[in-house]
Amino acid sequence: MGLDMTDKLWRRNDDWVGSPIEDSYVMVNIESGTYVALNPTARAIWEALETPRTQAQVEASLLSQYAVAPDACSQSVTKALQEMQAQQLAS
Amino acid sequence: MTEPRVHLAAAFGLRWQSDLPLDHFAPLEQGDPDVRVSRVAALAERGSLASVRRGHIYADGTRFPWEEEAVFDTYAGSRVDYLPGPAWKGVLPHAFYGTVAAQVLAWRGLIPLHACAVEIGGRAVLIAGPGGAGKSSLMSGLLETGAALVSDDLTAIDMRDDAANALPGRTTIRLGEAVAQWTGGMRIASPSPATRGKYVIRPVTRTSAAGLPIAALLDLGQDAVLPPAARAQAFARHLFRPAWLAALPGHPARLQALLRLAARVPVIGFPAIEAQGQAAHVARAHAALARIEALIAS
Repeated sequence: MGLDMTDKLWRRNDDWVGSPIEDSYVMVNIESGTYVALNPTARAIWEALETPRTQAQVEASLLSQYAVAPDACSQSVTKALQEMQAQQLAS
Repeated sequence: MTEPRVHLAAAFGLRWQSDLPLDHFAPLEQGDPDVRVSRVAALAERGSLASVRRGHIYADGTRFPWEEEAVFDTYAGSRVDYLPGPAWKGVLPHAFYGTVAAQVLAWRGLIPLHACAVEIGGRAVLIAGPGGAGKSSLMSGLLETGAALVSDDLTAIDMRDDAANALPGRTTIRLGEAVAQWTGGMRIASPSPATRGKYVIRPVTRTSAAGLPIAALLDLGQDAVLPPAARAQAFARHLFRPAWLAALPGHPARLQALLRLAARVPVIGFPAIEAQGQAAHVARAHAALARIEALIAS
Protein backbone atom coordinates (compact mmCIF):
# COMPACT_ATOMS: atom_id res chain seq x y z
CA MET A 1 0.00 0.00 0.00
CA GLY A 2 1.37 3.43 -0.95
CA LEU A 3 1.24 6.63 1.01
CA ASP A 4 -2.09 6.72 2.79
CA MET A 5 -3.73 10.12 2.57
CA THR A 6 -4.50 9.85 6.29
CA ASP A 7 -0.75 10.08 7.02
CA LYS A 8 -0.56 13.51 5.48
CA LEU A 9 -0.39 16.39 7.91
CA TRP A 10 -2.94 18.93 6.70
CA ARG A 11 -2.36 22.58 7.46
CA ARG A 12 -4.16 25.82 6.78
CA ASN A 13 -2.98 28.27 4.18
CA ASP A 14 -2.45 31.39 6.32
CA ASP A 15 -3.23 33.68 3.37
CA TRP A 16 -6.93 33.30 4.20
CA VAL A 17 -9.05 35.10 6.80
CA GLY A 18 -12.71 34.39 7.41
CA SER A 19 -15.86 35.47 9.17
CA PRO A 20 -19.41 34.12 9.50
CA ILE A 21 -21.94 35.99 7.36
CA GLU A 22 -25.50 34.83 7.94
CA ASP A 23 -25.46 31.03 7.47
CA SER A 24 -22.19 31.03 5.53
CA TYR A 25 -18.57 31.23 6.50
CA VAL A 26 -16.91 33.59 4.02
CA MET A 27 -13.16 33.66 3.54
CA VAL A 28 -10.93 36.05 1.65
CA ASN A 29 -7.42 35.40 0.41
CA ILE A 30 -5.39 38.40 1.52
CA GLU A 31 -2.89 37.97 -1.29
CA SER A 32 -5.20 37.41 -4.24
CA GLY A 33 -8.43 39.00 -2.97
CA THR A 34 -10.33 35.82 -3.86
CA TYR A 35 -13.50 35.15 -1.87
CA VAL A 36 -15.05 31.77 -1.09
CA ALA A 37 -17.97 30.65 1.05
CA LEU A 38 -17.28 27.47 3.03
CA ASN A 39 -19.96 24.84 3.51
CA PRO A 40 -20.45 23.58 7.10
CA THR A 41 -18.08 20.61 6.64
CA ALA A 42 -15.31 22.76 5.20
CA ARG A 43 -15.78 25.29 7.98
CA ALA A 44 -15.53 22.58 10.65
CA ILE A 45 -12.36 21.28 8.99
CA TRP A 46 -10.90 24.78 8.77
CA GLU A 47 -11.49 25.23 12.49
CA ALA A 48 -10.07 21.79 13.28
CA LEU A 49 -6.93 22.75 11.34
CA GLU A 50 -6.11 25.56 13.73
CA THR A 51 -3.15 23.29 14.40
CA PRO A 52 -1.94 20.94 11.63
CA ARG A 53 -3.63 17.54 11.79
CA THR A 54 -3.89 14.30 9.85
CA GLN A 55 -7.18 13.43 8.18
CA ALA A 56 -7.80 10.83 10.88
CA GLN A 57 -7.33 13.47 13.56
CA VAL A 58 -9.64 15.86 11.71
CA GLU A 59 -12.29 13.12 11.47
CA ALA A 60 -11.92 12.33 15.18
CA SER A 61 -12.36 16.00 15.99
CA LEU A 62 -15.54 16.23 13.89
CA LEU A 63 -16.93 12.96 15.26
CA SER A 64 -16.53 14.32 18.80
CA GLN A 65 -18.52 17.44 17.88
CA TYR A 66 -21.22 16.24 15.51
CA ALA A 67 -23.68 13.33 15.50
CA VAL A 68 -22.49 11.66 12.31
CA ALA A 69 -21.60 8.09 11.35
CA PRO A 70 -17.83 7.47 10.99
CA ASP A 71 -18.11 6.27 7.37
CA ALA A 72 -20.15 9.29 6.31
CA CYS A 73 -17.78 11.59 8.19
CA SER A 74 -14.77 10.08 6.45
CA GLN A 75 -16.38 10.45 3.01
CA SER A 76 -17.34 14.08 3.66
CA VAL A 77 -13.92 14.98 5.04
CA THR A 78 -12.11 13.32 2.12
CA LYS A 79 -14.21 15.25 -0.39
CA ALA A 80 -13.95 18.54 1.50
CA LEU A 81 -10.17 18.27 1.93
CA GLN A 82 -9.78 17.67 -1.81
CA GLU A 83 -11.82 20.77 -2.54
CA MET A 84 -9.94 22.81 0.05
CA GLN A 85 -6.68 21.72 -1.53
CA ALA A 86 -7.95 22.70 -4.97
CA GLN A 87 -8.96 26.13 -3.62
CA GLN A 88 -5.57 26.44 -1.89
CA LEU A 89 -7.24 26.77 1.49
CA ALA A 90 -5.26 23.88 2.93
CA SER A 91 -2.42 21.67 1.84
CA MET B 1 2.49 92.19 12.42
CA THR B 2 0.49 89.27 11.19
CA GLU B 3 0.12 86.00 13.01
CA PRO B 4 0.74 82.84 11.04
CA ARG B 5 -2.63 81.53 9.91
CA VAL B 6 -3.70 78.18 11.29
CA HIS B 7 -6.79 76.49 9.94
CA LEU B 8 -8.55 73.87 12.02
CA ALA B 9 -11.30 71.61 10.68
CA ALA B 10 -13.03 68.31 11.35
CA ALA B 11 -13.47 65.40 8.96
CA PHE B 12 -13.54 61.60 9.17
CA GLY B 13 -13.59 61.69 12.97
CA LEU B 14 -10.31 63.65 13.08
CA ARG B 15 -9.26 67.24 13.75
CA TRP B 16 -7.03 68.53 10.97
CA GLN B 17 -4.75 71.55 11.33
CA SER B 18 -3.27 73.16 8.25
CA ASP B 19 -1.36 76.21 7.13
CA LEU B 20 -3.78 76.44 4.19
CA PRO B 21 -7.60 76.61 4.29
CA LEU B 22 -9.32 73.23 4.54
CA ASP B 23 -12.21 74.30 2.31
CA HIS B 24 -13.91 70.90 2.11
CA PHE B 25 -13.83 70.03 5.80
CA ALA B 26 -16.01 71.42 8.64
CA PRO B 27 -14.33 74.44 10.29
CA LEU B 28 -13.50 74.19 13.99
CA GLU B 29 -12.76 77.00 16.43
CA GLN B 30 -10.38 75.08 18.66
CA GLY B 31 -9.06 71.70 19.70
CA ASP B 32 -5.87 69.71 19.64
CA PRO B 33 -5.21 68.47 16.11
CA ASP B 34 -4.95 64.78 15.27
CA VAL B 35 -3.35 65.52 11.89
CA ARG B 36 -1.03 68.44 11.09
CA VAL B 37 -0.72 69.56 7.46
CA SER B 38 2.12 71.88 6.55
CA ARG B 39 4.24 73.04 3.65
CA VAL B 40 7.86 71.98 3.56
CA ALA B 41 10.78 73.34 1.56
CA ALA B 42 12.11 69.87 0.80
CA LEU B 43 11.00 66.30 1.28
CA ALA B 44 12.76 64.13 3.83
CA GLU B 45 14.95 61.23 2.71
CA ARG B 46 12.94 58.09 3.43
CA GLY B 47 13.73 54.47 2.69
CA SER B 48 11.08 53.08 0.34
CA LEU B 49 9.60 49.70 1.25
CA ALA B 50 7.36 49.48 -1.79
CA SER B 51 6.16 51.61 -4.66
CA VAL B 52 2.54 52.15 -5.63
CA ARG B 53 2.08 53.78 -9.02
CA ARG B 54 4.26 56.91 -8.72
CA GLY B 55 4.16 56.85 -4.92
CA HIS B 56 5.98 55.05 -2.14
CA ILE B 57 5.27 53.29 1.11
CA TYR B 58 7.63 53.73 4.01
CA ALA B 59 7.89 52.16 7.45
CA ASP B 60 6.22 55.26 8.89
CA GLY B 61 3.96 56.48 6.09
CA THR B 62 3.51 57.25 2.42
CA ARG B 63 4.62 59.54 -0.40
CA PHE B 64 2.04 60.54 -2.99
CA PRO B 65 2.83 62.82 -5.93
CA TRP B 66 -0.26 64.51 -7.32
CA GLU B 67 0.27 65.43 -10.95
CA GLU B 68 2.64 68.40 -11.04
CA GLU B 69 0.85 70.24 -8.24
CA ALA B 70 2.38 68.82 -5.09
CA VAL B 71 3.99 65.83 -3.42
CA PHE B 72 2.42 64.69 -0.15
CA ASP B 73 4.32 62.84 2.56
CA THR B 74 2.25 61.28 5.33
CA TYR B 75 3.70 60.19 8.67
CA ALA B 76 2.00 57.71 10.99
CA GLY B 77 -1.46 59.00 10.13
CA SER B 78 -0.78 62.16 12.10
CA ARG B 79 1.26 64.45 9.86
CA VAL B 80 1.07 65.46 6.21
CA ASP B 81 3.89 67.44 4.59
CA TYR B 82 3.34 68.92 1.16
CA LEU B 83 5.93 70.18 -1.27
CA PRO B 84 4.46 72.42 -3.98
CA GLY B 85 5.37 71.47 -7.54
CA PRO B 86 5.61 73.43 -10.82
CA ALA B 87 1.81 73.47 -11.28
CA TRP B 88 1.03 74.47 -7.67
CA LYS B 89 -2.16 76.55 -7.48
CA GLY B 90 -1.89 77.83 -3.92
CA VAL B 91 -4.64 75.62 -2.49
CA LEU B 92 -4.73 72.02 -1.34
CA PRO B 93 -5.78 70.06 -4.44
CA HIS B 94 -8.79 67.78 -4.39
CA ALA B 95 -6.49 64.75 -4.18
CA PHE B 96 -5.59 65.89 -0.67
CA TYR B 97 -9.22 65.43 0.38
CA GLY B 98 -9.32 62.02 -1.33
CA THR B 99 -6.20 59.87 -1.71
CA VAL B 100 -4.10 61.63 0.94
CA ALA B 101 -6.94 61.64 3.47
CA ALA B 102 -7.59 57.94 2.72
CA GLN B 103 -3.95 57.10 3.43
CA VAL B 104 -4.14 58.91 6.77
CA LEU B 105 -7.38 57.10 7.64
CA ALA B 106 -6.02 53.69 6.68
CA TRP B 107 -2.88 54.26 8.73
CA ARG B 108 -5.12 54.95 11.72
CA GLY B 109 -7.05 51.70 11.28
CA LEU B 110 -10.12 53.21 9.63
CA ILE B 111 -11.50 51.78 6.39
CA PRO B 112 -11.73 54.21 3.47
CA LEU B 113 -14.54 53.26 1.11
CA HIS B 114 -15.20 54.71 -2.33
CA ALA B 115 -18.78 55.56 -1.47
CA CYS B 116 -21.09 58.46 -0.76
CA ALA B 117 -23.10 58.43 2.45
CA VAL B 118 -26.29 60.09 3.66
CA GLU B 119 -28.06 60.06 7.02
CA ILE B 120 -31.59 58.69 6.98
CA GLY B 121 -33.44 58.05 10.23
CA GLY B 122 -30.29 58.39 12.33
CA ARG B 123 -28.34 55.83 10.30
CA ALA B 124 -25.93 56.05 7.43
CA VAL B 125 -26.76 54.69 3.99
CA LEU B 126 -23.70 54.14 1.79
CA ILE B 127 -23.98 54.56 -1.98
CA ALA B 128 -21.30 52.87 -4.07
CA GLY B 129 -20.85 51.89 -7.69
CA PRO B 130 -18.61 52.31 -10.69
CA GLY B 131 -17.83 55.72 -12.15
CA GLY B 132 -20.83 57.09 -14.00
CA ALA B 133 -23.34 54.95 -12.08
CA GLY B 134 -24.79 58.08 -10.47
CA LYS B 135 -23.61 57.94 -6.84
CA SER B 136 -23.42 61.68 -6.22
CA SER B 137 -26.54 62.25 -8.29
CA LEU B 138 -28.52 59.78 -6.18
CA MET B 139 -27.11 61.30 -3.02
CA SER B 140 -28.18 64.75 -4.21
CA GLY B 141 -31.69 63.43 -4.86
CA LEU B 142 -31.83 61.88 -1.40
CA LEU B 143 -30.70 65.18 0.17
CA GLU B 144 -33.71 66.82 -1.47
CA THR B 145 -35.99 64.27 0.20
CA GLY B 146 -34.67 65.30 3.64
CA ALA B 147 -31.59 63.13 4.06
CA ALA B 148 -28.44 64.76 5.48
CA LEU B 149 -24.97 64.69 3.93
CA VAL B 150 -22.47 62.39 5.61
CA SER B 151 -19.78 62.30 2.92
CA ASP B 152 -19.19 62.43 -0.81
CA ASP B 153 -16.98 60.00 -2.71
CA LEU B 154 -14.83 58.94 0.29
CA THR B 155 -16.46 57.52 3.40
CA ALA B 156 -14.49 56.47 6.47
CA ILE B 157 -15.75 53.37 8.24
CA ASP B 158 -14.83 52.85 11.86
CA MET B 159 -14.86 49.15 12.75
CA ARG B 160 -12.81 49.60 15.92
CA ASP B 161 -14.23 48.67 19.31
CA ASP B 162 -16.80 46.44 17.64
CA ALA B 163 -18.48 49.44 16.02
CA ALA B 164 -19.59 49.71 12.40
CA ASN B 165 -19.94 53.45 11.99
CA ALA B 166 -19.67 55.85 9.08
CA LEU B 167 -17.76 59.01 9.99
CA PRO B 168 -18.79 62.35 8.42
CA GLY B 169 -16.36 63.35 5.70
CA ARG B 170 -16.19 66.26 3.32
CA THR B 171 -18.85 68.95 3.63
CA THR B 172 -19.04 69.41 -0.13
CA ILE B 173 -20.17 67.35 -3.10
CA ARG B 174 -19.16 67.47 -6.74
CA LEU B 175 -22.01 67.43 -9.23
CA GLY B 176 -22.61 67.84 -12.93
CA GLU B 177 -24.33 71.00 -14.09
CA ALA B 178 -27.91 69.76 -14.25
CA VAL B 179 -27.89 68.00 -10.89
CA ALA B 180 -26.11 70.98 -9.30
CA GLN B 181 -29.03 73.16 -10.36
CA TRP B 182 -31.47 70.84 -8.60
CA THR B 183 -29.43 70.68 -5.40
CA GLY B 184 -29.86 73.20 -2.60
CA GLY B 185 -26.77 74.64 -0.95
CA MET B 186 -23.91 77.02 -1.42
CA ARG B 187 -22.02 76.86 -4.69
CA ILE B 188 -18.32 76.73 -3.76
CA ALA B 189 -16.75 76.33 -7.19
CA SER B 190 -17.70 76.23 -10.85
CA PRO B 191 -16.46 73.68 -13.36
CA SER B 192 -12.71 73.77 -13.97
CA PRO B 193 -9.92 71.24 -14.52
CA ALA B 194 -9.37 71.27 -10.73
CA THR B 195 -12.97 70.15 -10.14
CA ARG B 196 -12.91 67.66 -13.03
CA GLY B 197 -15.50 69.80 -14.77
CA LYS B 198 -17.98 69.61 -11.88
CA TYR B 199 -19.73 72.14 -9.69
CA VAL B 200 -18.84 71.97 -6.01
CA ILE B 201 -21.81 72.45 -3.68
CA ARG B 202 -21.97 72.63 0.10
CA PRO B 203 -25.43 71.29 0.97
CA VAL B 204 -27.31 72.96 3.80
CA THR B 205 -28.38 69.74 5.47
CA ARG B 206 -25.36 67.95 6.87
CA THR B 207 -25.26 65.42 9.63
CA SER B 208 -24.45 66.65 13.11
CA ALA B 209 -23.55 63.17 14.37
CA ALA B 210 -19.96 62.24 15.13
CA GLY B 211 -20.56 58.78 13.70
CA LEU B 212 -23.55 56.87 12.38
CA PRO B 213 -24.33 53.15 12.46
CA ILE B 214 -24.58 51.88 8.89
CA ALA B 215 -28.01 50.78 7.71
CA ALA B 216 -27.10 49.47 4.26
CA LEU B 217 -24.88 49.73 1.21
CA LEU B 218 -26.68 50.61 -2.00
CA ASP B 219 -24.56 48.98 -4.71
CA LEU B 220 -25.40 50.68 -7.99
CA GLY B 221 -25.62 48.46 -11.03
CA GLN B 222 -25.74 45.20 -9.03
CA ASP B 223 -28.44 42.56 -8.65
CA ALA B 224 -31.05 43.12 -5.97
CA VAL B 225 -29.95 40.39 -3.56
CA LEU B 226 -26.34 39.48 -2.98
CA PRO B 227 -25.33 36.20 -1.30
CA PRO B 228 -22.87 36.43 1.62
CA ALA B 229 -19.62 35.92 -0.30
CA ALA B 230 -20.70 38.43 -2.96
CA ARG B 231 -21.68 40.87 -0.23
CA ALA B 232 -18.19 40.69 1.27
CA GLN B 233 -16.74 41.11 -2.20
CA ALA B 234 -18.94 44.16 -2.77
CA PHE B 235 -17.38 45.96 0.19
CA ALA B 236 -13.87 44.99 -0.92
CA ARG B 237 -14.63 46.16 -4.46
CA HIS B 238 -15.47 49.59 -3.09
CA LEU B 239 -12.29 50.17 -1.10
CA PHE B 240 -10.91 53.63 -1.84
CA ARG B 241 -7.69 53.45 -3.89
CA PRO B 242 -7.40 49.65 -3.44
CA ALA B 243 -3.84 49.40 -4.81
CA TRP B 244 -2.65 51.73 -2.05
CA LEU B 245 -4.63 49.97 0.64
CA ALA B 246 -3.38 46.54 -0.38
CA ALA B 247 0.21 47.77 0.02
CA LEU B 248 -0.30 49.60 3.33
CA PRO B 249 0.34 47.81 6.63
CA GLY B 250 -2.58 46.07 8.29
CA HIS B 251 -4.32 44.98 5.11
CA PRO B 252 -5.25 41.50 6.42
CA ALA B 253 -6.91 43.17 9.41
CA ARG B 254 -8.67 45.54 7.01
CA LEU B 255 -10.01 42.66 4.92
CA GLN B 256 -11.16 40.87 8.05
CA ALA B 257 -12.91 44.05 9.20
CA LEU B 258 -14.64 44.17 5.80
CA LEU B 259 -15.93 40.64 6.40
CA ARG B 260 -17.33 41.74 9.75
CA LEU B 261 -18.87 44.76 8.04
CA ALA B 262 -20.46 42.50 5.42
CA ALA B 263 -21.83 40.31 8.22
CA ARG B 264 -23.63 43.28 9.75
CA VAL B 265 -24.62 45.50 6.85
CA PRO B 266 -26.95 44.41 4.06
CA VAL B 267 -25.99 45.19 0.47
CA ILE B 268 -28.86 46.23 -1.76
CA GLY B 269 -28.44 46.22 -5.49
CA PHE B 270 -29.93 49.30 -7.15
CA PRO B 271 -30.02 50.34 -10.80
CA ALA B 272 -27.32 52.63 -12.12
CA ILE B 273 -28.56 55.93 -13.51
CA GLU B 274 -30.39 55.52 -16.81
CA ALA B 275 -32.70 58.42 -17.60
CA GLN B 276 -31.76 62.10 -17.54
CA GLY B 277 -33.96 65.00 -16.50
CA GLN B 278 -35.22 66.31 -13.18
CA ALA B 279 -38.34 64.11 -13.05
CA ALA B 280 -36.23 60.96 -13.42
CA HIS B 281 -33.75 62.33 -10.89
CA VAL B 282 -36.48 62.83 -8.29
CA ALA B 283 -38.16 59.50 -9.06
CA ARG B 284 -34.87 57.64 -8.67
CA ALA B 285 -34.27 59.19 -5.25
CA HIS B 286 -37.79 58.30 -4.10
CA ALA B 287 -37.39 54.72 -5.33
CA ALA B 288 -34.13 54.41 -3.40
CA LEU B 289 -35.68 55.97 -0.32
CA ALA B 290 -38.58 53.51 -0.42
CA ARG B 291 -36.11 50.62 -0.67
CA ILE B 292 -34.06 51.96 2.25
CA GLU B 293 -37.09 52.67 4.45
CA ALA B 294 -38.48 49.19 3.84
CA LEU B 295 -35.15 47.73 4.88
CA ILE B 296 -34.88 49.86 8.02
CA ALA B 297 -38.47 48.92 8.99
CA SER B 298 -37.84 45.20 8.51
